[in-house]
Amino acid sequence: MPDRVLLKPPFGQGEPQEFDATPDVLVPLMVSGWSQCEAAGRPICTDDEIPGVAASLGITADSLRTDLAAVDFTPQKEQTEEVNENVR
Amino acid sequence: MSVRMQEVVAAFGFRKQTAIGTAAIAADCWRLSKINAALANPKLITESDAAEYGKGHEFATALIKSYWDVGFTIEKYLSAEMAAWALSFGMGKVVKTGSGGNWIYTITTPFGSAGDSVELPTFSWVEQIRIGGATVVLDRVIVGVAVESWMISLGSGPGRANSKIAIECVGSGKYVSPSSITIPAASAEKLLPAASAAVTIIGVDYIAAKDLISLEMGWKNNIRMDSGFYPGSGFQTAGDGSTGAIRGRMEYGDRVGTLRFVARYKYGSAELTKLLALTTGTAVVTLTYDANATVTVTWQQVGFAVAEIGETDGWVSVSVDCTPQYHATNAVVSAVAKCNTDNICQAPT
Repeated sequence: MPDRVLLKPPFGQGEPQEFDATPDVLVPLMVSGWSQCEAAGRPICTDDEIPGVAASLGITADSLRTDLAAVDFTPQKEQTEEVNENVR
Repeated sequence: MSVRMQEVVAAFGFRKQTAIGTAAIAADCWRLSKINAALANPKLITESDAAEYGKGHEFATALIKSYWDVGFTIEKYLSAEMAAWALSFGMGKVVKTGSGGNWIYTITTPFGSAGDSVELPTFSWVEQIRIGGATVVLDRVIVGVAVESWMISLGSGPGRANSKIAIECVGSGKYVSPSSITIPAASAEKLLPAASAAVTIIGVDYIAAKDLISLEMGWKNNIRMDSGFYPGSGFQTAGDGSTGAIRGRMEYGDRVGTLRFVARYKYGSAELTKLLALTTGTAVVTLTYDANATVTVTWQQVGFAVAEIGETDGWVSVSVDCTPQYHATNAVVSAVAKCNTDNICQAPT
């Protein structure tokens, strides 16, 4: 199964999409204006798209780009409870 | 004390610069050897006031620092790392995939009409001789360098010289001395010898037929050097108009691909037939060190512009100049380069 890669559309219009990372797929896309999103091979998002729980922990889009692999998106039980408590 | 040219230590950015005037940091540079001696000399172009009126005569009374220029060539035995680097910077558009130290760079050329930047990525080039003491001979970083062209040459015979790459570079003119960059230890390279070549051109496997004698392929960006200077492009020393202008952009011009080869010509050879029929097809050239260190260049549509029968080492041969053409789906040329070096032509984090 080939790797998947996130590309953004020409002129930055529209949402990034994931594609198979094979030359047959990538080359036609690249020459028609699709380009790789920042942080090669990793999804990017805006601060607005950060899940509320993650945002409450100080995670930003920039910090995700810096080292996404090191970030655990799974909220710990106590963190969830703490956030829920804050929300209440 | 005289200095041997081989004392020079060179390093350059494997990542692209954040901006044309911003030098790479040491962590984003690698040190690779090359086989030509030329240095990347920043050249100050001056103007005189000889032609001006009001002096009372036609002679110069002063020189004015006009602008800076940089141009140099890197010649190397072809390696997987260098192929990935040169084609990435030389063609300009890269998608990086892979993992675990086995990186795959899919490379194409940008098209402004499709929303791509017309500016090519730039890198930094560092040169040092006898650094680290009171007898420093040379220590500078050339900033904002772009690849003007690359040419891969494959030949017949033993030795590394039969698989080489020549990379022509041009710079913004900016340099910093001393460089303040500590050049890293030399990086290992995985060579891509001619003996590993796989070459198929318009349906003919020239390696299976044992016919290929030599091949050259390359790409030239014809960078618009003069339009790099524009109102606001900057000076050698920022904010100091007396230090000479530098370029603020490196835009590609009319780009040209090159593919030519010499092969043995025998019964059944179809080069002349294809020339007469204006036959077109793909040309695929692959060089391999191992599964994770290769380069494959695909010319998406080529025709034979010239095919001449001649002689090579006593054998009847045909010399073919191909014309790379624009393919409606895949454009002109693409490459897939695999190597163990991460972040080639990627933006710094």
